[in-house]
Amino acid sequence: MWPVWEGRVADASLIAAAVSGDGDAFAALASIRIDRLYATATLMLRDRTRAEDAVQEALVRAWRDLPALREHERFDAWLRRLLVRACYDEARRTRRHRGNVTLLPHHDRGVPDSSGELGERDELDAALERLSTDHRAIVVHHYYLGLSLPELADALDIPLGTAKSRLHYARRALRDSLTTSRGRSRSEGDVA
Amino acid sequence: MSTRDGFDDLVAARLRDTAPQEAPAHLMDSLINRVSSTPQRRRGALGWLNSPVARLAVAAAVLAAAVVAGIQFGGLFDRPIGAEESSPSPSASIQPSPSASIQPSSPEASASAATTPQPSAEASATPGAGDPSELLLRLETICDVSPPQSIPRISLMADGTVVWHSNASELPIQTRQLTADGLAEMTDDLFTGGLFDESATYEPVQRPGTPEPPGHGACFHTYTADDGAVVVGSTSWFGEPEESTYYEPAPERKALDELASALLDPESLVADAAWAGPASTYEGTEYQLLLHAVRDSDVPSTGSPDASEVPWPFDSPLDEFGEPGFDETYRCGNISRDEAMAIVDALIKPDAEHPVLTAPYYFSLQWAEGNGSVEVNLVPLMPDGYPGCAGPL
Repeated sequence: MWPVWEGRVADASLIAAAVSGDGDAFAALASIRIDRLYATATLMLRDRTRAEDAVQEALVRAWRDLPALREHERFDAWLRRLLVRACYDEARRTRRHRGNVTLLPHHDRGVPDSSGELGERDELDAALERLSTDHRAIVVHHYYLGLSLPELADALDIPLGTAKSRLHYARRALRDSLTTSRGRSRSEGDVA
Repeated sequence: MSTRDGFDDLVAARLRDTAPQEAPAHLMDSLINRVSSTPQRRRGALGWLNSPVARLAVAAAVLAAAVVAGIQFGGLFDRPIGAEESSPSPSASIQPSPSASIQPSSPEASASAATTPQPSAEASATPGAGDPSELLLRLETICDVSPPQSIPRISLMADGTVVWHSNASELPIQTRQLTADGLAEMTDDLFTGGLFDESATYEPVQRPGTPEPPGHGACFHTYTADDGAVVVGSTSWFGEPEESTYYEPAPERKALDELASALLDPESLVADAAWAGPASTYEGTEYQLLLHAVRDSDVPSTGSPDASEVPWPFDSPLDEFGEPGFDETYRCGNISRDEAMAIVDALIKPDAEHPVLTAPYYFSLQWAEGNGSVEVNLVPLMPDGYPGCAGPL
């Protein structure tokens, strides 16, 4: 069994072994990354069950197609793309089968509150939920994973210009939601 | 984009707060199970289950795969598989064969099967004299929700030619010739149980009163007999022993599953004397070339070479080659062995071992012209020309 090593050298060995068909090596690679992949998928899909499916699908595809990956140093970028693609697939299924969606547990989304910081978080959660899959993908990859614009373009496999405009519009949608929420809170305070 | 400010920090903090810290443990366990049962796609190697080729070739299997996707991604369908109309086809009048269909030879039983393909009447130690392109029995097996296997697990032809491909091994496709006596023995074994007298479909039927089964994959066995006139399908739980906890036991499914396992090693089904010669590697004279050319896609890059580097044996654009597939991105046509070899020559690295094209061949290319990817799939055609580009195309 491969130890769960960290660092690029160990990764390179693991990737080379996994490419040659070593399932244990691939499991070690996956185990290092699965928490972050799962978190990313959960934020993108807003649904933990779907996120599990997406992560598993992305990793199985990675295992299956790994021998075709020529640049091993791009493993993580490639895996990110596979996850994004799997999340898109899941999102499409979710749209077709709305009735089966299990939303994030309520406690993860903050206690509903019409005013103050909690109300703002609640509104932000709702705004994130309202974003299109494209916009949520770029928000999660930028704000949660901290990817730069070129990295975003690479992860989402879109031109740099598209990444810029997509992030701009997603950010504006979120900001508009918060502005509306703050305005509503102020007017409710005025009435009170 | 404007510069980062308090709003950006707020969004980043909220995402950090709501993101789960750890993946559930069962996710890793489940992944390991799936990886252990999923072969890798290798250029020029056999570990190439999951090719889209068979999606073109096995329409019924594709439909079944869609059903199983519903099982795997629990809740996709309103009703679990196996309820009501997923019962065995009412048109089927199959004799249950709990002991599987590999049975001792029985000339009487063989003679009684009206649709049983008949071997040469003059049984002898010489090769069979039937039509080499006439199919007696073909088995295709597809497991899990991924696209199906590209080539049959076994093809038995009327002249006694057997072509088989072990699902689990890295061995090339094998072929061996039965004598006329051997062919008679094998057809008796295969057809005496009556499993292939009529077309039928056997799917899992949920036991009354049991909870909805957890998500799981499935295996589909599709048997084609009598030169395509009879198609018998069977679906079973993939990789889990507790199928009977949730689904009714069905002697037909059990028999078909056991037969599928037995057919992995056809040489063990009959005595050595039943064979006219040793096994050899099967080489097709023609190959099915299936291109999956996707424009403007989000297909991840693998750093593969550009499609323009390949000497395609046709002048048309990639996405106009041959016949259309089951959607506008698939194109399918047959090419000669020499043309197939020329494609492979252009794709392999100079120092790589040259594949001999005795197995499904897969390669992924970048498509700069179409800003996307091109999957190249080459499959040697079986003696009956299967898989062709007809059917669901």
